[in-house]
Amino acid sequence: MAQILGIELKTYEQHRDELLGTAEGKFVLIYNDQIAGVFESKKDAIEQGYRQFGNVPFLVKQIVKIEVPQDFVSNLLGV
Amino acid sequence: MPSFTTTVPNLQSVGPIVEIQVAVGASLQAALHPSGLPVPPPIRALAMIDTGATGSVVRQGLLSPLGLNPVGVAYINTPSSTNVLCYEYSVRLLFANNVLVETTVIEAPLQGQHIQCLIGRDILAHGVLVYIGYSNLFSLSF
Repeated sequence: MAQILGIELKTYEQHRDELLGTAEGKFVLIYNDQIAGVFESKKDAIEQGYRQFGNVPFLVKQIVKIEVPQDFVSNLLGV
Repeated sequence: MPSFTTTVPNLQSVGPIVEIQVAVGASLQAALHPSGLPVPPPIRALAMIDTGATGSVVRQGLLSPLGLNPVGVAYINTPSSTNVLCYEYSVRLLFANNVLVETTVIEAPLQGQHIQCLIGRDILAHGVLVYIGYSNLFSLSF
């Protein structure tokens, strides 16, 4: 499914432990295999992503130990 | 305080639905501006306010005319699946009365014919939702 951001997700996994040690709870901006920065807010990271890379896929991700999925109770969601 | 109030006949059966517009987010708009690239016009969509949704969702394909690329991913649990990976997009949602919300939304398949967007608790976290069942109306304020 996530082929578009596959490289970025792999890059995050490769640097996950190091990011957890230095910036847990913050938001990392990743483009291809490059960590472009760590930000206090998701909004700041997205702004910087567009400013630096333009309208291309990039990954903004909160640095967390445990990934908590979002829950949807409605059966409108077809997945 | 920016707010809108909507009356829906048969609110109980239909649910708190509202017409919105989905537009390119402010960050991308700012990035497009200096290059002179046109900003795609907003898309009209029918949304339901869903207190059972952690985040906001748009129907798969709805954002195509905006030419957006994903800015993240999210894992979601639904009544029938767990840990499904979905893409996140940065958008601006425009409600009635010029109420604007800058947010990220998940793109996922939405079943049924009408609802194209779910307004989840990520947006409600910033506002006050008033649901007056016996009057068939609800309002959202920020």
